Amino acid sequence: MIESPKIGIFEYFTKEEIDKIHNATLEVLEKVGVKIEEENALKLLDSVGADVDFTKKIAKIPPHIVKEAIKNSPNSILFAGRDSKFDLKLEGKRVHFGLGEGAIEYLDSENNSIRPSTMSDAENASKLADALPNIDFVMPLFTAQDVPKQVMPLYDLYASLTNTEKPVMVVDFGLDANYLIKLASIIVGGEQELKKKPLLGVYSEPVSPLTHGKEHTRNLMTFANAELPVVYIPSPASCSTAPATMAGAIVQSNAETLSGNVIAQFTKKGARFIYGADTSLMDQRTGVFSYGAPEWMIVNLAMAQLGRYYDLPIWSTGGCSDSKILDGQATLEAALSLFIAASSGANLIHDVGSYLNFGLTGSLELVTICDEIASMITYLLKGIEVNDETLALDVISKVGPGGHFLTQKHTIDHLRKEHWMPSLLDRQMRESWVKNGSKSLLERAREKTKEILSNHNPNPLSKDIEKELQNNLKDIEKEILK
Amino acid sequence: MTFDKERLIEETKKGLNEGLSPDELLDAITDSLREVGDKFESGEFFLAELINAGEAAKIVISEYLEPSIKESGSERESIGRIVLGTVAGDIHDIGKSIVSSMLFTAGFDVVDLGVDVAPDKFVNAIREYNPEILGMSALLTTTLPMQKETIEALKKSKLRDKVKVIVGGSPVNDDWVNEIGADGYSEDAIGAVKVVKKILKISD
Repeated sequence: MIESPKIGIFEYFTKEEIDKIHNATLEVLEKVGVKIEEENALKLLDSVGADVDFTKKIAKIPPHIVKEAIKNSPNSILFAGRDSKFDLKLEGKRVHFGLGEGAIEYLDSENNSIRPSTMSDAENASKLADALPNIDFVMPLFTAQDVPKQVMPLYDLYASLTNTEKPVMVVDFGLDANYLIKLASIIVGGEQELKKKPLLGVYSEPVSPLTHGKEHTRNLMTFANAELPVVYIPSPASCSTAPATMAGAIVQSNAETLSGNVIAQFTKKGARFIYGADTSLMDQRTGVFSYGAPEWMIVNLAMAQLGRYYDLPIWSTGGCSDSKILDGQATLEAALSLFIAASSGANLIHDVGSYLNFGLTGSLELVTICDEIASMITYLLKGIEVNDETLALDVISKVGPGGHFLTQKHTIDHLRKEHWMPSLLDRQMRESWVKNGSKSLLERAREKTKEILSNHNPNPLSKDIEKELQNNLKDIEKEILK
Repeated sequence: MTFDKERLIEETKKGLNEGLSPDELLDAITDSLREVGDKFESGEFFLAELINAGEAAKIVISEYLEPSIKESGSERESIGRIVLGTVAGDIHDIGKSIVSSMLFTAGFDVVDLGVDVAPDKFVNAIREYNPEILGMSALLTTTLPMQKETIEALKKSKLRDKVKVIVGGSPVNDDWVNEIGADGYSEDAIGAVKVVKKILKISD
């Protein structure tokens, strides 16, 4: 968590460029419009003055409607923890880190093999995230591939709700979001209470280019009505589902998420909408959607800058890699993308440590490594103080040329609060390092991960609530699978 | 636990005035230093804190306790004497000073000759102080050969057999130690105490 970053804001585009992107976006929404598969949303937009073609399901949205929706959006959103000490305030420059959800494979880092991920993996990921100090919100990382597919999102959610007290975000995967709300509300004692203590957020997506799918639109509206945090952002790939030029891909992404906000705000004024895009490219040699490309990082910078322009809470992505295993590429792409996302000033950065292999593979060790990266970035962006005491003129003159500072009171007074201490990165001299087993970063991350999973016990739900959660999960499962 | 030199001095004076024996105070300080050392090993305390504790103790012991102890006719028990210095042509002080402080904290009697110490100055110091160990620091690859020259000077003065020689500095490695015929080295200041204890067969 970076509460008041000193630099914190990497303004990649000029004001004129942002204006151009904004104006182009308004033009796309007004002249091209968006396709909306959900009849109720089309009717809603028709009623507020959009130009709707019900046969083609296209809504052309004039600028004043887009602007009104932005005006009605909250610029500060509470994302609550089960324990209020983990509450997050999504506003201004406050930066928070969290996992992702969607990996279908678990990486066994001992032999670099993969296997289908399970509910138990999602539980372990949530438990690990609960313990790691630089992870602020939790997503289950893995999808439970060992339960019936239609109800998988419920098991993923259950895994997180029962293993962390931090705020929980889940992907809807097209499942009726009412079920997700139902489960989370059990923890706080009802849906009204959940509004006051919104410990569940949902992540849903439009389908690029410029299409709002039926289930996703419904879930957007459901979460708007439930007054819960809703992330509704596109993931287009430049060259395939968005233009080849990054500026064009940004315009389209902006049109997609802003039209989502129009649906949300006219469904329920003040809907807790979180803005952003996870836009990357289709690699022209392999066809993949890259989670490590610099183009993807540039879009993260653009969306954060646009989000601030609209004064909306911002979602971002970082700490991922296209590598298949936990190697140099993985840590390099994870570190760089995480730094870019954090320095953009985005409020929620997801997929931290969660995605290898284009989002297919998850690695718990990468989460542990990214916790260290996030710690370092937090220190970097928090910045250092410059005042009479820190300028240290007194002690510089006291020590004078040729002396040293080790034995100065000023040194003792400041070193602990001034300096960052690694918990995973190695700074031993070679001989000590050899004596301690010559361990690589990966080996140390593996040890730390194992240690946390065997010793950390997340504060459990009460037996009654857990039982009720299980019963409801079973009931919903029966209803869906019948 | 305090790293505050002034406070330690105050407390020591107070203790002496109240009639505590200097030996008792010395034991208490020595115990605290051991605790600081253990906490440094476990990662709880940082380097500057370790050095500070050592320096504070050093001042209190040499300026307040040792004079009283000498008056009573006894001496501070030392587990060994070490002469230290940075070699001729090299004015890098800090690594050698940390080693000095660490050895003192560990209970050694340390004679620090400072920086830019010529071979004959080392030779004279060995005659004068008769230490078990001579430690030479050199940060630069270009000043490293002075460690060898100093050892040669010891041989010429027929002192090489009387003293064990340890060397340190970032370019030092096993090959260099063998080449110049030194008795040991540590790759960092923190390891120096262990090397010295090993050479002198002192258990931890």
